Amino acid sequence: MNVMNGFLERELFLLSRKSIFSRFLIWLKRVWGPDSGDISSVVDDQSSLLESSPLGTFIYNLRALFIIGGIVFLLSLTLLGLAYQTDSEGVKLTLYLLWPVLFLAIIIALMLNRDLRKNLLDFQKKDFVGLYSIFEKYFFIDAALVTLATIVGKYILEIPVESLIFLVMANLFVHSIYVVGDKTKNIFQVSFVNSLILPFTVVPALITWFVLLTINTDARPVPQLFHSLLLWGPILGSVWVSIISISTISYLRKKELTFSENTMAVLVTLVASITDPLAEKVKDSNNIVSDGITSLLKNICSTKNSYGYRAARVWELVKAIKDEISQNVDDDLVWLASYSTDTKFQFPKVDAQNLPTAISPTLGSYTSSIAVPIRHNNLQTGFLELYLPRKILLTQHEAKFLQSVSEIIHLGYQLFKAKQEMLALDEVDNILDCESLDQAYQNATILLHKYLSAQGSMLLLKEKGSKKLKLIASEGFNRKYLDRNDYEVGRGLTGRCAEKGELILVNDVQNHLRLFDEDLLSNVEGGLGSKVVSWMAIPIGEKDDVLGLVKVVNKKTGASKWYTDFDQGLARELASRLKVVLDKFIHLEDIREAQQRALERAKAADLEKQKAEKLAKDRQQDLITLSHQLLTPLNANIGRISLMLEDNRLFSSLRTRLEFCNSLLFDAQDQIMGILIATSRESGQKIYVSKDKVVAQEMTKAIYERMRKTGNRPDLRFEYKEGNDFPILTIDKRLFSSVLYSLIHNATKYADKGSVIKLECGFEWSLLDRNVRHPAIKVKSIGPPIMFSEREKIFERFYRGQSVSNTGIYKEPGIGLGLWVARNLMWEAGGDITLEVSNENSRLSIFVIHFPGD
Amino acid sequence: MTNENPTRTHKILWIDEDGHILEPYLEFLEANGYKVEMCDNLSKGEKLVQSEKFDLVILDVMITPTEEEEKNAYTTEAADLGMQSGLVFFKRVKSYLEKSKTPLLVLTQRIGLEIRDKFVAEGLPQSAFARKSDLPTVRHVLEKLEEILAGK
Repeated sequence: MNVMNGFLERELFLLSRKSIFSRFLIWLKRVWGPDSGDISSVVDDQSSLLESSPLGTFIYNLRALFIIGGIVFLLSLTLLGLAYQTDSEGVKLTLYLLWPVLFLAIIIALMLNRDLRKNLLDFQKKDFVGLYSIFEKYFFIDAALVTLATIVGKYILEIPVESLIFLVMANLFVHSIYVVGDKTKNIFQVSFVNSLILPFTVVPALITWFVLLTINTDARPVPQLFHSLLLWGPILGSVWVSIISISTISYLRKKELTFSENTMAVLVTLVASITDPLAEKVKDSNNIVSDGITSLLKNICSTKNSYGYRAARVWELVKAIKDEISQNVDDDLVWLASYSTDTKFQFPKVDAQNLPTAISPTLGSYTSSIAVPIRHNNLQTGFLELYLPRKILLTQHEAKFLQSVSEIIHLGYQLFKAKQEMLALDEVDNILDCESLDQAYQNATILLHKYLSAQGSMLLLKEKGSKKLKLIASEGFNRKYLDRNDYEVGRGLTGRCAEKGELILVNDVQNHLRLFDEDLLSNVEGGLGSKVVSWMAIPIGEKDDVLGLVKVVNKKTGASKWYTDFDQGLARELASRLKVVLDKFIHLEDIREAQQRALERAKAADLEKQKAEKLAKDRQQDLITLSHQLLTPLNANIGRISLMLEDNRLFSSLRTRLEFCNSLLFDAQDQIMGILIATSRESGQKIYVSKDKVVAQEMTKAIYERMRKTGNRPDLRFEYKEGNDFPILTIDKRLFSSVLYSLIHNATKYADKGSVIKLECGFEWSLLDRNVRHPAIKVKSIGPPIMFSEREKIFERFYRGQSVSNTGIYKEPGIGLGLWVARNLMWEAGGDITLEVSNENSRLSIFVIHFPGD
Repeated sequence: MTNENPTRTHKILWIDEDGHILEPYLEFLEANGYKVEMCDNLSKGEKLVQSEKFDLVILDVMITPTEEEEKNAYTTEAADLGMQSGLVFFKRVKSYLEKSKTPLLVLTQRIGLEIRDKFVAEGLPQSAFARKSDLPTVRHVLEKLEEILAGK
């Protein structure tokens, strides 16, 4: 019983899975052996294309059974007719009617075979939808032929064929199943189609049946058994067809329900197996994709689902980038992930040149396999392989399921890849936190190695002010080979990348050797220890601001040998961050260099300043020493002459000459002492300043009288004026003498011819306290104008008034020391000298000696 | 040239290595009743101060030590004191001068305060200094000596 049940279930299953015709061909092949030739290619009706549609297969098989049943039925009638050896016209007419009808049905089927093939191919292309157009016409033809045969047989030939009308009923019944099962039809279409069928099938059948029951026609007599077969054959056939149809539909529905539940459960699990890893924190972001896809495959092969897949593998089709450089480069097929429930299972090799482009089951005893293309935007990006230990009858649902699985795998791949990219970018971002360029370089080469799977990587930077590209860091190369290379902007592809600021990628380098600089590539291959297969250079910076480049060669095994869009994207991101880091550090370096230069300049300037100061000090010291040395003979001469002048016996003429000599010596002494004190003061030396009581009038007159003798300006007159309460001054006599000498000498030098030099003693408001007045002597003279703006400058050492300088109108010789000396001496004495320039008379200059207060 | 005060005779020790330059001053001072003994080195001056009585000692700050003085540590000590050999001399004879109440006039061509401060630190009053340029003529010198001796 169990055997029977098993047989029936199997046959029922096969009725909706495999064309009877195909099974017959296979049986023939088995019987006749392999030498039978390719019989299937001759008579193949392409019914295997229907195998994805259980309903379609079932309908197809049902029609085949109708033909076969018809043949058996007619053969039985013929045999019975022969067995009775009767001349019954009823028998003859029956056979004469039904055989031609059957042959007519077969002939029409054969005539429509071309259309059937075409329709089946279209059906396959349309991806398992649209059964309607395939079998619709057969239902009409069958119904029409049987109805016609019934009417002709019953009313014209008068033979008992009325039960044939049951076949029309069965035809209608199956047709209803067929139409409803066709997913392209909505309920309106179904009703509409059925309403069209009714006039041709149901109505004539009912009329015939009505006639059969109500009118007692005298049919031609036929033998009893013949009549019974003729009556019950169609009825039983109709009943059988109805039962088979209902059973099959129920079976299919049950299977479909179970399948849908399984499908849903598996798809949910698969989706979960994408989302779960995405939520997890991962340490090694490099394996995210393969781990994630492996997890998907594990779920697909899980024993919990009923598909029976035992092993699975996913391949990624890496599209070679075909630009003007990388031409004629083949796509690369990369193993992405695999899983097998049986650890001993050996995955077969894949023919990279003959990839499956559609869901294609391969029959086999154990390792039957299904290849499912993985697509993105209608482009194949890879495929999924499934291995299972059963014969494959790929249903439309299973195919749909596998299509969904492939889409989920693609989605998972995209998501895992996105996560990997995100994590990679996070790591790349870490470069921004590097505290030194060396650290940034080191991290960059590590990232290139990790994420671009580069067998060799290097970092080259432009040298300032030259075309040279300096090798900063490298990984995976024997450096001694690389050091032989003189990389330059513009030389080879590397130089082109640095020059144009363009990313350059060359896959299949050995077929594009003409693009490379032979020497450079030779050393790179020497350093790498192998031939370069794939090559990529990424500029750091853009066109006019390229700082250098990152170069990677040869993707390592385990991944695609070609660099991909993803690699390009990641490399660009890395380069852009390196640019930021380099900019930052170069900027810092520039600042540091500028600071260093500034420091060096400052140091040099300081050194120069020190030198200058030392020189100035040396000169000051020389001047001081010289002044000292001059003073000794000067004093000696003054002493000697003064001794002579003490002799009352001297002739007046000699006395006058000696006095003149002495005056000159005193002038010199005033000058030298002035310079000595001012210079010593300037050199930082503390000067001894005595506080002598000085009667201004006495001293002033003595000096200008003396200078009148020694000077060469006899045209000038001196006027001395003193206020009534002008005090006896407290000041270093020696110093004051020098001050007066300097100012009077200055006045006599530049005063207009015949003018008067006025020396006025009075009081001035203190420069520091406007409420205090202190004694002051004004030396007034008329001469070349001193500009208002020169009021202070005129006291600077070596400064000469514009009007009297070598380029001035009143050119006069001089070195610009006198006023500087005078002011320094007064400062040393606690006073000051200022210059008043008259608004009314620009030629009037008034030097004011401010004496210190009490 | 006249002897303006012939009755007064003052014995003066003038220590200066440039005696030939000072000749006019000596002549004028002697004409005015002063007996001036010139001394061109410090050790000799030191001995004279210790052995004889003078009304006034005139000292030039900078006197180059002789070989004998170098042996006598003048140089080393002078170096320690900032090369003012006159200061070394003063330190050595200070007690004799104080004992005999002999005033000291320190003459210098220098205008700096530093030398004076060192002497002041050793107890010499500021008024005992004079710049040579303040006493250019023979009469200036005579007047200065008279001023000191009058205040003695």
